[in-house]
Amino acid sequence: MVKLEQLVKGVLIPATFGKGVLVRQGQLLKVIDVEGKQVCDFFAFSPTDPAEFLSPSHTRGSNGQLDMEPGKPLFNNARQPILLLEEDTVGVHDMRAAACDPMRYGMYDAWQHRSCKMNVFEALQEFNMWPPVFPDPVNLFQNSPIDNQGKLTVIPPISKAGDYVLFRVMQDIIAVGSACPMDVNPCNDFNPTDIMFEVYQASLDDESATGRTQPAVKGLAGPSGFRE
Amino acid sequence: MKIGKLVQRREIPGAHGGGAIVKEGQYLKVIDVDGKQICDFFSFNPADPSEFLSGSHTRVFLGQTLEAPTTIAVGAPLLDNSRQPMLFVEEDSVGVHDWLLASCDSVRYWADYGLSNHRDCKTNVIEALAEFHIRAPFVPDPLNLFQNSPYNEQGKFQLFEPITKPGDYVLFRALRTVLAVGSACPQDQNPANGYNISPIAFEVYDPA
Repeated sequence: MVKLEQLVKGVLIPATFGKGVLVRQGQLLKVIDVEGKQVCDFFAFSPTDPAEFLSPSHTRGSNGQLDMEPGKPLFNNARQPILLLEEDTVGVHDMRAAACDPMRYGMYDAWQHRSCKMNVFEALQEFNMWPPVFPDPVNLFQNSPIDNQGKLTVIPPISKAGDYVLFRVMQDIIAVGSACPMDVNPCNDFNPTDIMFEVYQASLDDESATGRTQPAVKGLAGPSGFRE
Repeated sequence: MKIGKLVQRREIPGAHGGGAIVKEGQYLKVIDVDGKQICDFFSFNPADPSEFLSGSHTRVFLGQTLEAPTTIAVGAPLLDNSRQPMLFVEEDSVGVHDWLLASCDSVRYWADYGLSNHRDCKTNVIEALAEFHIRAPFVPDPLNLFQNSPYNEQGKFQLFEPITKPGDYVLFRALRTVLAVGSACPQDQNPANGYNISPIAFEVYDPA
């Protein structure tokens, strides 16, 4: 368990809305599913270059695995580690599906519906940021298994009230979350609720904080063709 | 599949990139010329390169609308990042591709293999786009045609040699005009290309 020191900032993301927060290198970011069964579409942007952002495909490729795992970093699209997953009380998330957008609700004939994509642009306006493209999300708490026909599905999250993931932030980021407004399929168990961001100062006597930055060594790939 | 006459053939040399405009209704055949060669494949709206082929959007569409698998499926469309159909998969002589992993880049060769000055797919795409006077805001995720990198029950990926033979191909129909870009992947540090980097061919055909 990581010892959390002073709470720097708490940001409540109301159901169906999006919010962002600046998190400094070394700080910890806790993303909390307040009432349970709520997906948080999660993004992280470089505060100085919004074309640099958290990337599921680079995270998969650099870790050589489908899903994130405690103790392993998440990478941006420049293949730099920007977050380290410290704790995860759920273990079921999605890194394969795009965020919902107006077109997605159009498939359900609900064109005026709020969407994660619009939520992220709204959240970034507060930082005067307009990314050149909209990245793929890390869908925290989303339960989207691939069935035995190889098809991507969506079923209700298994998260309970207060479940969370805790990231150690390895580079300054603007972290953005959208409390996913999807209520026309089981993604949020048909009941969108709030998400909470908490930013903590890292403890100075936290041993896990040391030795966790990416080592400057070469030749990390193993026989599988990936880091193992 | 009845298609019209060949209007352009472009051979992309091994370890390099190249592109071709494919007009609405035309066909694009991506050919693994010598076999066991990955093509990192991209498709852009030539008028707005921030619109591009997107695996994450196609997966949701195929999984929830067409009950199709998470990779490409013959007889199904591929979507762009605004969820609009872009290409239609007409034929696929292989059936083994990857749509989950990022392209190789200079950091991959440096950090994972200790190599500098190695060619990489990301740079190949930027070079290929420059020929069309396009600078994309960033390099999107690729559709790694012919890449054989399954994951096991624990979710761990492993790179194997492609199962492709010389002349194996995927045939797309353009649902609207696209700039198709391919990189004949320069990865020679693992079995991804059978340790033998070879060319990829793009052939553009008119409708029948």
